[in-house]
Amino acid sequence: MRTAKISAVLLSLVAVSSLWAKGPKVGETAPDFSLTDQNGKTVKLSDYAGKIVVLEWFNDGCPFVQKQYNSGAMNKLAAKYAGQGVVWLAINSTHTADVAHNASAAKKWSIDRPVLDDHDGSVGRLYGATNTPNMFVIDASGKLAYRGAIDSIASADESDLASAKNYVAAAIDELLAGKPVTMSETKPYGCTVKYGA
Amino acid sequence: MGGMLRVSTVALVLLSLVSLARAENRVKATLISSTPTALPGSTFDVAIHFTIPPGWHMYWINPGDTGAPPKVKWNLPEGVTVGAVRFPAPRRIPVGNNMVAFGYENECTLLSTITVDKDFDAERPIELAANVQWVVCADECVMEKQDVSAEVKIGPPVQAANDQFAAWRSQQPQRERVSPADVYICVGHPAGRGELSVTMPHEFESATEIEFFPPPLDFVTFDRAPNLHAIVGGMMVVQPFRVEPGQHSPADTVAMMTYLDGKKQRQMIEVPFKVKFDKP
Repeated sequence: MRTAKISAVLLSLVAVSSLWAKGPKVGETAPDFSLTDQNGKTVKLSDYAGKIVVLEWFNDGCPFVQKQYNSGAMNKLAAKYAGQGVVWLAINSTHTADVAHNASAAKKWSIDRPVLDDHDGSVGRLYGATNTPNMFVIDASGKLAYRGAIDSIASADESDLASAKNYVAAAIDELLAGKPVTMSETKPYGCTVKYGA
Repeated sequence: MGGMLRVSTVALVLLSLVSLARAENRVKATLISSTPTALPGSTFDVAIHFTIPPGWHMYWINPGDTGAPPKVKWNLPEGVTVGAVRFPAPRRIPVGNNMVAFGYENECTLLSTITVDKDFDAERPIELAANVQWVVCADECVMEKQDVSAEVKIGPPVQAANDQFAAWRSQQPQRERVSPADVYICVGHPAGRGELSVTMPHEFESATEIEFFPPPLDFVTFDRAPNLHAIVGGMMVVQPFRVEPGQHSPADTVAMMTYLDGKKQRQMIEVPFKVKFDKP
């Protein structure tokens, strides 16, 4: 009748996902930042105090991002909520990108909202952004309300968009309705953020 | 004049070769039948084999911190059906800044079982085709797709016609070894934690390098090392996990356990992961 714990031989090789570890937690104040958009204009998070703000980690070379833009899904979503006062900021932390690169990406995909240059990765690391796309929703009081995936189907295939549940839309809808966010954290999927050394 | 023409023709051919090479996929997919011949009313295995260039990798059903698994859209003649695609056991692949992907390097072989209806028109060969798409990553990621096909003639099946299949089957996890009855999943809402407990025989005491790969559920994260307990009648491996509050749908999928047995052989076992989350 041995019921004692007998061995601790197990390796600690289990991947401790970096997901939960870094950046602001849901409910904490979203840290301010100042970055340059594709037109050379300085954009600060604090410029949008009192508004719901979506942060979208962006890399136009990533097929998971391309799925959202080639299909028009991301622009459609951002435009829908822009009409309800929601601010949407794309952030490119790819170490090889710059303002001119983001300008051409914005032009290619008709992105009329800011695409911010974070090629030194400082804001990406501040938020603990791991993937593209990795989505953050900040409520009107400046607290982080959602972090994680764009939707429920981890795929680079446009044909999956129709059946996926969009977590960002769900979170914004709940915030706009004055309700707490039900799914407030999910595991982001996509490419890794291409941080420099 | 003739020389000039020849030179420019060569240049043109070279140019088109260059552009062909550019359009070519990094990964090569092939559809391979385990037997060159089969009869109506029989079943046989087929493989979708991916050759992955050095430095690049593809993904398991749960890709880990990045990526996505390959997708297969079959195109089969009437009277021919196919079972689920079976993935080989994954390995951990370090990616980016301290992130881990679950997947495959160098090659990956998916297996499926084809069933030929007994009423299949035996006048024609069995034409198997599929559109396969996948994400392959090194530092960057690309999505690629390819149409693959294979023809199986009508005739008595040839056992072990393709000895590659033995190797490919050995890369597959054991799927029947752990039954749902050996698995207990406890979810402690709203604490956001759960435990996956798997009952194994006594011999498991000598297992080392026990690792779990989490199921493809974006609200479940295996964030701690598993631990091992002796229990009445065997051993119990417990894999703690974190679960996101707000998830109320049933989850019916699989996790993967791998370990080195007493003979230092790597064992790969699929573990049923079925849990019904309570309403909050």
